[in-house]
Amino acid sequence: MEHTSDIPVLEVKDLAISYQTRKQMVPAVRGVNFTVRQGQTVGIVGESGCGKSTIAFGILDFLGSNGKVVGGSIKFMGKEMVGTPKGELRKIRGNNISMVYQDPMQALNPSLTIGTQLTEVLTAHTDIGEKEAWDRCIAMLERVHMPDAANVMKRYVHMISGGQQQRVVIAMALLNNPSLLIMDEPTTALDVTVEAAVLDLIEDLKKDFNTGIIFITHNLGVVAKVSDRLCVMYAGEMVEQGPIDHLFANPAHPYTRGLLCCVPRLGDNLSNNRLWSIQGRVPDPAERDLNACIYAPRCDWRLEGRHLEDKSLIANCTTQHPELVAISEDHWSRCFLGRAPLKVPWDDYARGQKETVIQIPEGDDDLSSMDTLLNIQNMRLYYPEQNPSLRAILGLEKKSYVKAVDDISLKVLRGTTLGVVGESGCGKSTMVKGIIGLEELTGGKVDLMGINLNEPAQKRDLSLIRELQMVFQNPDSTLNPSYTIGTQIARPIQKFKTVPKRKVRQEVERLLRAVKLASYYYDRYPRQLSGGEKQRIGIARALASRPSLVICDEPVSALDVSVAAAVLNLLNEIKEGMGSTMIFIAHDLSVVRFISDFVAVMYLGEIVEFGPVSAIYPPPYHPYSEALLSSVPIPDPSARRQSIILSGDVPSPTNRPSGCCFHTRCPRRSVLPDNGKICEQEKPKFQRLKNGHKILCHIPADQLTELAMERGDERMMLSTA
Amino acid sequence: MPEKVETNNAKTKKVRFTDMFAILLSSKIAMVGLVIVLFWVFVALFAPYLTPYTPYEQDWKAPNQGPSAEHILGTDELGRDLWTRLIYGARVVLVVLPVSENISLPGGTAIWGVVVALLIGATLGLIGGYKGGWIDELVMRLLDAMMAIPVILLYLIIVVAIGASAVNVVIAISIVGVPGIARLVRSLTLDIKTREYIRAAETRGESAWFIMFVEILPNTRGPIIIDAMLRIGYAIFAMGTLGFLGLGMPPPSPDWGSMVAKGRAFILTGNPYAALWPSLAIASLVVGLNLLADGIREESMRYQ
Amino acid sequence: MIVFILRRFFLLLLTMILVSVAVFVIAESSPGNIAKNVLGAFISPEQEAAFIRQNGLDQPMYVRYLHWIAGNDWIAEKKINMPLKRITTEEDFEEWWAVRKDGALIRWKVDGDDLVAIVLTEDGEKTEYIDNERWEAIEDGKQEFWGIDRQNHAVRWVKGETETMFVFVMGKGWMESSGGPKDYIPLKKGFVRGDPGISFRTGRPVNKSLWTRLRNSVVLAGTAFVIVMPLALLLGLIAGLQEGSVRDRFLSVGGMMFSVVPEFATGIFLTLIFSVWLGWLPGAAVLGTSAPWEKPMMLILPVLTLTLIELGYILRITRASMVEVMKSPYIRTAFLKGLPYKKVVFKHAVKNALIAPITVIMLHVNWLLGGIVIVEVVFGYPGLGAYLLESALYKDFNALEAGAMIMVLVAVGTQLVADIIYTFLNPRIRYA
Repeated sequence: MEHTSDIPVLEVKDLAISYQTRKQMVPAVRGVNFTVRQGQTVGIVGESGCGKSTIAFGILDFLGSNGKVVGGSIKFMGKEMVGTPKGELRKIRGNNISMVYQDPMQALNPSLTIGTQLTEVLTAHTDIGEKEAWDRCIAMLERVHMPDAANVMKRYVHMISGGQQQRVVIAMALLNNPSLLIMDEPTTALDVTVEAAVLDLIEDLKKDFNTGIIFITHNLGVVAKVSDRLCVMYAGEMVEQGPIDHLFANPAHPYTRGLLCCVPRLGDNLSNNRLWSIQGRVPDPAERDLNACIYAPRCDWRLEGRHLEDKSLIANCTTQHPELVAISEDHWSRCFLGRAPLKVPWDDYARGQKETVIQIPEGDDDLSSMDTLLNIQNMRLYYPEQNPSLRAILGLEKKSYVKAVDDISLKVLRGTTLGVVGESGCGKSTMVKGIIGLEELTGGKVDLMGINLNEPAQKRDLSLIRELQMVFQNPDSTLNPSYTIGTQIARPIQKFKTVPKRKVRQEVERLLRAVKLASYYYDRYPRQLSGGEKQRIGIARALASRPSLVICDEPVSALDVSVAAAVLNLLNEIKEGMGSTMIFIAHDLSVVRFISDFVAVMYLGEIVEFGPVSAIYPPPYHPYSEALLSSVPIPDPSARRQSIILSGDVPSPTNRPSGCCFHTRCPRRSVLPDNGKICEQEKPKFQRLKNGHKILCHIPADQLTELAMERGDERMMLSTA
Repeated sequence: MPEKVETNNAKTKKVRFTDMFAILLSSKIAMVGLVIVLFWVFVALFAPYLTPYTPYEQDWKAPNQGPSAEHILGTDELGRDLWTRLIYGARVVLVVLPVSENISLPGGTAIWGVVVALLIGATLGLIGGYKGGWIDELVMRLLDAMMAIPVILLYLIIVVAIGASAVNVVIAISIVGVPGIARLVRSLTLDIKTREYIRAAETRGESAWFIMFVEILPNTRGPIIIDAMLRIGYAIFAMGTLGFLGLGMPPPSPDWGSMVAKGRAFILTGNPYAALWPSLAIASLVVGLNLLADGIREESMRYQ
Repeated sequence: MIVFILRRFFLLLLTMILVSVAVFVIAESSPGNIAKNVLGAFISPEQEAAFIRQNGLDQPMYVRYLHWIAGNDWIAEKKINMPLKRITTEEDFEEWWAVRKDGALIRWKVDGDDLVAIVLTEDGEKTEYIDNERWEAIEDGKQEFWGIDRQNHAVRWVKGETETMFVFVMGKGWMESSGGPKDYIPLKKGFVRGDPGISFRTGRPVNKSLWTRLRNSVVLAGTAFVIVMPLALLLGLIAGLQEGSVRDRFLSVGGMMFSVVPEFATGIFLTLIFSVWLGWLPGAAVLGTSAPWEKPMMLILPVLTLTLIELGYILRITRASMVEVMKSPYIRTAFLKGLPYKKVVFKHAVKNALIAPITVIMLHVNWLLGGIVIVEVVFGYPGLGAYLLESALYKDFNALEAGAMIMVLVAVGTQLVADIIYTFLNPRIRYA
């Protein structure tokens, strides 16, 4: 098939797309050049608002009524698409180009069966009969490893899980054997283990279908795992492009370098406490200066000229617009510096050292000699389940419960940070709600420095309430849009009377400074702030009552990476500066590793593994932790590893599996006699290892270590040493 | 490092008003609505200065006349000046609420009806939405039952039960308005309740009242303002209807609806004006309010 | 799904009960005086009291409600110790009779100290005879008798102690008469058994006039509905598909204008245009005793008024829903599959776009009912709405309550229908 691969599947040259707003045409994307060849995957990466999806819809000519391609060319299989009549484009869509979307639930029609939606892809473009189409769809569903494919065809979207929905969308995209497949953040809405399975599937399909793929994502780890080439987008422009290995090894554009540096990695040294962060934020399309380097206002090289020998290189940054220049053959960067940044190793950015590293006394494997701040014993939190059947309404059926948190025991030591990880629905947020008093405990006991916390927040004493404060996940809903920042930070100060009345404003300004914001933010409204700033205000508000324990519920997961880095740095600083104790909830294992001293891994309302961070990341692991760790996408194309794919879905917390709660999906139980019969029958006990590390598993720790080593997990062990 | 260095501290509180104004200006529809509404408000405010007659003055010599120099819009069957009755009618709708012969409150009948309904409805909606559970169930079932009664029937029954007067019209309009507002506020509350700043307030140990009225209520204002505008339009609609059915203001007060009802008898006998003018008045005011509310809603949606 | 519908059904039943109580309580506790409405403003207090007692209005509210809803003939049967029967006379009046052991119908009157039995034979002849052996002795040597009087009450007469009573005489109205009993039970079968009682205004059973009125209203509303629904949905879909276009603007702003102007104003405008200026159509719907379909010209203006009002409303809801659906990601998916525009619209969009309006439209029936009242008054159309208004102004409770309950039943019934349609359109509920 040599001759066909000469014509690229897609060739995009100087693409520019603008949107018509009331006032003027706003350029959303410009200067985009890339080529997709058969069987090649081109990754497009960038933060939100960088125009990634606009490119995708530009290629498909689906920009909506106010969007328009204003320049450049898009050639599909050598044929120019810009200016082609709509009718012809429609035939190409779906038949030759197809798309996979971010949110599969939204992308599928809720009132048609999956079968109807799949078959029409075939019947719309070919003369194939209904029956044959139906069979081919079933075959395709089986091809994407959909369990019970024939029955899924008759179901509606809401009846299958998120991972399965994404498989349906992928099957739909592949049905006509398209030449080009555009994937727009296909795994962003999924949990890590599901993400790993979907990425695995994509990798697998790539080999079979020999399709050209455009893979759009904000996640460098994901893109490193699947792409052959990488395009980096910033503020609507392509700033760097090259083969993936080359680009990751020698990032030339300052923005690419910033992106690569600001994510914590599983391989980092544990004593790091600073991440690189890019200052400022992505400018809105209408605010961009078209006659300058768009990145100049945020560029460290221009602002600080780090390690730059020839200062004249940065003279034009604010007066001219840079073009893409060749760094090496097939590697391009839109920067006046050209090759200059390559002289500085990109991972050389300053990473501060932790001032205090938690030391666990030799032989204290119960952590009993350490100063316990929060003590959770056998905590249970059940919700009565809404049962819609008639019998249940009449009270004939036994009430069933969602066991969101089931028998958790945990200690939080003073001055340390406890990270809690687990996938969505594992009960980590519910546990926190129980501690802070938003939900009433069903059983067990929680105490803070010996004071009982079993009562819900409304009944607690004010002096107790102020000791526990929370930082929330979503920057857009963490602040009340009706009040100024000052009012919102002042409220807890006034309520808990931490300072005299006339000093409230001073105290608010002190807190603003503590979260690195100027005092003029006092009079601003939340909608005038960016996501990162709002998150800082949220932190300031939590600190206002001077709590002894701060609970952070996924505080950075909704932020762009460069902003998230700054917030993580801030949290680390507060931790060190004030000696605060924190519980940090996250689904991202690298982030948890970066910020925590201790880690608890949760699955289905239980803690399956607990220990100091230095013991959690190297083996031995609980099989679930192992699967989680192996699924984390590493932003390093040379480190492509085989993930452990978990079978099936997370069981419903109403109907928990007997014995070990993980036995239905455990990839390791086969090493036990009788294919792990004991796992189904008997609840495992914690195996207590060194330094408070404990694992809830029937398989002996030594054997777990061996199994992990066999998989080749030494790399991670070494880096934590 | 502060993420945004340049100071633009001056524009903070003013933003909202300029936004509001920009929205108004950018929508032609809203502007047309505003002009109509302002016309009626102006006429209602200055009614006594815009006519030489009083609404009760009868001219026995000139009943049922068409427009003339003396009576620009003509006269009704008792020879009363139609223009005068029309603008005094607007006064009752928009500017004054006659409580008794000697006492009247500022704010028209329609406005009072909506304000009272808003107060009760918003409180019920907030409580139902925020507290949930059996309180919510009880409140919502009762309101559902109320909503199941055809509106006109509710009006009939209420007015028949308490009699016809301006205050009773306010009461009827309020009672009919409560379920709708309560539902709107409840659904907004259910949404806002899930926001994290409400969690923050709860973890701060704030009372339920504080959370409902200080944290939630201000954030419902956008949809409520638009809803209130539509509701004032609807209240005028309802007032007219009640007046038309003979359940509105007691005669001889200048009430648009009853003017139409009286004038209707003379349409087929050759004097359409007595029925036409008040019909046009109601129609234009209601349409104006709806245009205004619609324009603002559409523009503010685009603005986001 | 069945569970869902059953739940809705129970809720609606509950609503009906609540509403019936509310209507009853508000209507009956209102100030104003039925006796004065019925007998004229110049009656004496004694006359008023007699009237009130005779109609059972002196009973406590809950008793009256129970009698109204479930009837009271079964209570009377126990007192009289004979089965009771309701018949309809040739003049369309209802009469209650007791059934004698031999099967003959019987009722009584009191003439001085004599108890006179009236027997209705099967051939329709009435014979009278003195029936004094039925008197039963009670304390103080008095004698009493529970029986049926000639005005459909179960009554207790006490020998020698008669009271004033009022009798409704055809053509004359309520007349005073003597020989009245001590206690009254105004016989009725109760609303749930299909008997809403007697109208004070006409003295005839509410049932009789109600059905004709209801039929007329159904013809009016039904015609309007049949015209409005397809038209409004179609125009709404068109406007929604072309959001922002001139046609959309025209349809949605125009629709809004028609839908917010009160019915009576629209009615006046239409009358002026079509019957006064153009002279094409009659300005009032004079039906007399004929059914509406016999005089279709009379229907045009009322139907047009209703249509205009409803058209705008439904059009706007459909439009909004269509606009939202067309912006949804699954429509994008359908387009990007390369499906033709028509197929995307009809197969993917329309069904989802109709889910929201259908429920709203059904809830709007409530509102349509209000429109009917006004339209009927404007055009003098003899429908249920006008009947309701007349009854309300007259405080003719039985008629008002019956009319109200019919209206509520229609409103609540359509809600149930809406729920059922909704479950069918929305697989999320169907397979919940």
